Amino acid sequence: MEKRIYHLSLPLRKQNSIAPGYWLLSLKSAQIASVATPGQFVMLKIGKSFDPLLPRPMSIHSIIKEDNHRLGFTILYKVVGKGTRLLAEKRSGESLAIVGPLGTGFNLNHIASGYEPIVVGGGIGIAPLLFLAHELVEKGQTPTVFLGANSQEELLALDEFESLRLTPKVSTEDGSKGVKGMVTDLLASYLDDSKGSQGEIFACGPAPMLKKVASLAKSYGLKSQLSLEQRMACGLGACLGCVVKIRNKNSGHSYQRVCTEGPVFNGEDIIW
Amino acid sequence: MVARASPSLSVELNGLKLKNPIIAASGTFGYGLEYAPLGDLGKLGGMVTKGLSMWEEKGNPPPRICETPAGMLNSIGLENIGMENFISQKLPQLIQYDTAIIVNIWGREIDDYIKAAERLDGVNGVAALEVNISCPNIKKGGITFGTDPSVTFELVQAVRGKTSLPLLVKLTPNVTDITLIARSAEDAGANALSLINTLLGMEIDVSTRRPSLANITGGLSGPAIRPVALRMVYQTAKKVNIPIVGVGGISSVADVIKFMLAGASAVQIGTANFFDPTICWRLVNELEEYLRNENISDVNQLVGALREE
Repeated sequence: MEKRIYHLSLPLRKQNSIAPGYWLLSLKSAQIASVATPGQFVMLKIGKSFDPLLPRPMSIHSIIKEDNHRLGFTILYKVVGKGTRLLAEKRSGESLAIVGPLGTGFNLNHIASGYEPIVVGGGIGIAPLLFLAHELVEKGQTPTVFLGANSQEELLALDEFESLRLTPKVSTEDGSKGVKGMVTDLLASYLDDSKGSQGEIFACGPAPMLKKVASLAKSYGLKSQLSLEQRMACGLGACLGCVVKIRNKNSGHSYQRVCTEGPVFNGEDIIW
Repeated sequence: MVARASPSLSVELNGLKLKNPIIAASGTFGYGLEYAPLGDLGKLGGMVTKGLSMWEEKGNPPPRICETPAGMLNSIGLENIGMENFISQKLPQLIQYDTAIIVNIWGREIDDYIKAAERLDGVNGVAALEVNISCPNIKKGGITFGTDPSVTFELVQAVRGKTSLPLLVKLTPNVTDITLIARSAEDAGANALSLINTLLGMEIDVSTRRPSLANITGGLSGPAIRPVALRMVYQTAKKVNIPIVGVGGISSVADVIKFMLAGASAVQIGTANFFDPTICWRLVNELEEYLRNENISDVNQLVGALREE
């Protein structure tokens, strides 16, 4: 199938802060929404200024639907630098240049009954996982969800997961909600209690968390699909700027593009 | 009022005919196919492939890119799929588009360039070669080919002898006097010159006290370098008799016109493809609109038409 990628100027439908430093924005585009799959992203150019110059890669957080028609999508992001700070100042009606949908998302083709999807998100890493959870539920699955954050107020979109009738297991580093500690500790004890489960881990979060998830998956004999983040210029596979080191089938390594072969990679293939 | 005839956009670079002067620059347009979902490649004057070597090149470890004010640094490390993979996997798809496919070649020794030129000579669909002489020459102790006029001459002459394809030579700006290198390339038989490649730069992350690029230094591109590129095109155009392809920070039709006024016969669009991935197509349309509005019948009338009095 020919890849469909759109370059569109989209008016911002709405944008609001859902926690200090975290913003949720909605864009209307039936074109992008109807072909996007979980784990894919868009490149978002903030204004016409040359500073910042480059667009920012942003995961698709959820699809906006009305009467089963896909009308648009949302982006959940954290203010981390100049680009996201300027983005947070955008208000309804202002336009953003968007390229997407891009990348290879989570592979759900092999999912069947009797199979347990385990979804693990850390911090802003939950961004692509809500879309994933929706898709899994639509496929008749009930994923086990683990969400971790620094504190209760940074546990994002918890109610969104709950509205899918999922009950995320929660951890915070300061102990303000759920179990005190890292989300990977929660995952480790869960895997220890449920040995022999037939499942697969889907995760997104900071690199140290993903590295830990990959090693846990390996020790419990599970496959893992991890969504990575990397600086990008084009998002289209042209600039070769966003590579990660991937283990070759035979031996050695190669560099693969987070924007094209990824952002989702098999945990066992990544060389950290 | 009678509608004016369409202005002529076609240009000829000393043996290389282009339907318009807008070319996508090497390293910013992949192998062309990456941009095919966004527009008809057949509408572009041409496209230059990612720099190809006779072997597959893995490239540098990440981080490979870093944003800077109005620009970016890159140190990709010349990653490419290798000549044979390009010819067997990419070229057959590319030739369905009616655009000039210009293959950028590089090597670590002069012999690598010779092999690349020989391999591509007579290959169906290749319109021209662009010789990237900004790589360090291992045999000559790491000296960059394109910073030495005599090495430039030797390399271009060697490639010239192995191909009947039009040769563009892409010059580095990291030299004291780019016109000397330009003259050497011209004397050695280049059909045209592409200038400029990236400016060597560096960035540091203060929070980690580390260089922002794994390779420490990288090439600066984007709007930040446009005035440098424009100056070099202007100076070089006064010293050579072969066409110049202007490249460096171009991101609007006004920029295209500036480079042509300074003496460029065509332009390449580089970093702008990253932040505005349909810009090449838009520039073709906007250039035509400009010519029509200004009542200019042929785009070649802009070349070197700078008023200096």
